[in-house]
Amino acid sequence: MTSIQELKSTRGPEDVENLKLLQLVAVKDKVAFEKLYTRFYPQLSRYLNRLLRRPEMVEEVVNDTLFVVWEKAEQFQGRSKVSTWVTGIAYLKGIKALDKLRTVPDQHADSLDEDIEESVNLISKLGLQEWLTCGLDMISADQRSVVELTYFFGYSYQEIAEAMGCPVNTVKTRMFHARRRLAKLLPQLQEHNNVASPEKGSRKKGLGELL
Amino acid sequence: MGKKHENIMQLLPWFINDSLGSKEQALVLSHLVGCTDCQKERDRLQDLEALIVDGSLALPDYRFSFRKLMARIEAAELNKESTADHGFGRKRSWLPGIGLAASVSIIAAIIALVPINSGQKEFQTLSTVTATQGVSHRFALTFTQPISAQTMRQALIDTNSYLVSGPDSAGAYIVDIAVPDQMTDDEFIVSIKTIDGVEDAAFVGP
Repeated sequence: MTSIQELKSTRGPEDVENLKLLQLVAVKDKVAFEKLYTRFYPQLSRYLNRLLRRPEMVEEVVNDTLFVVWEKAEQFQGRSKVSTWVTGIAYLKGIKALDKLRTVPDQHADSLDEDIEESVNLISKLGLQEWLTCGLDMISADQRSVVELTYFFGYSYQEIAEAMGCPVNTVKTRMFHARRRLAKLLPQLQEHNNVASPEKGSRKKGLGELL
Repeated sequence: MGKKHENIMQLLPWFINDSLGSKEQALVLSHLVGCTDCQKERDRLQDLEALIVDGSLALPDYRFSFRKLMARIEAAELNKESTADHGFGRKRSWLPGIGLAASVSIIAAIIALVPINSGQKEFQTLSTVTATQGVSHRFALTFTQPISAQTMRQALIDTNSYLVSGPDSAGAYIVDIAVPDQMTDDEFIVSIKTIDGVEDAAFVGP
């Protein structure tokens, strides 16, 4: 495992603190593990909530992820940030959980069927956050992961590639498809809302230019 | 220009989240000055970012989830200890004793072959019982958690189990058990589940 001193020169204080805790976890320090758990619980919950789209599964997959962190802490090589490593585990656990469900086919396909017209009916009366949630529902899990890690977590495309175990060009392609797909949704939503509810529609008009 | 424009378009999300390297950052900046399409796209993506970041998520108290995870960890640790006690743990700390065990087995085999109590009740080991009472079938056994090493050992003895592998990711052990001829697999599973420490049993194969 990379030493703290080595990392201090190249990493931010947050990652150094994470690494300190992880080194203690590697020797089965439960107090350190609780601290690490507290640090990662909110961000993993958020990420997995977006990835899985099933709130009832989030806690279990968060715990699956941190169980692996507990078991494998001594194997962390320090080649990436601790948060990238943990996110990578969460991604794999999330995808595995989705695979087990088998109710949402092609979760990690990069191109889904163009069934947006049907989807618009479902999201026509929602608020902006609900629209976003529905919009994200209509892209693949891999695409959602890239969008979330970029915009919410501020990851570089290299870090996302590390976390998701894929080439950087795949990350860029997934983002491209996600953007294209989300961009198709909003104009139709805006149009629908202007007819259905002028007040709501006008509220969303300015936001309708988002994508 | 077309290719460069496409590349810049692809980089915009990471230009916005400020994670590009200095070289790529400069490249995007210089392109943006003269490209209105990219400027519009940047503005849209900035709005999208704001929308995504705003999305709040009500989280349950982490302590409850943490307690659950710690219970799972402790159960897993106990399982490891149990498997180590049985001599099939990963660390193989029992290897030095294997020579002694082999010697004891040879002596036991010799004793078993000599008809010391001829005409009386025969001495039978657990393995001879399972071999003569039925056909061996493969089952997946899970144990109640937490379980002590002693209880688990006793459960394995009580079920006449021959351990094949385990525990797997779900905590199940694959065992071979001789099902008595007069019982169906389902009846046998029901009887196994009554044994202290056994949480569940499932037929895996003959």
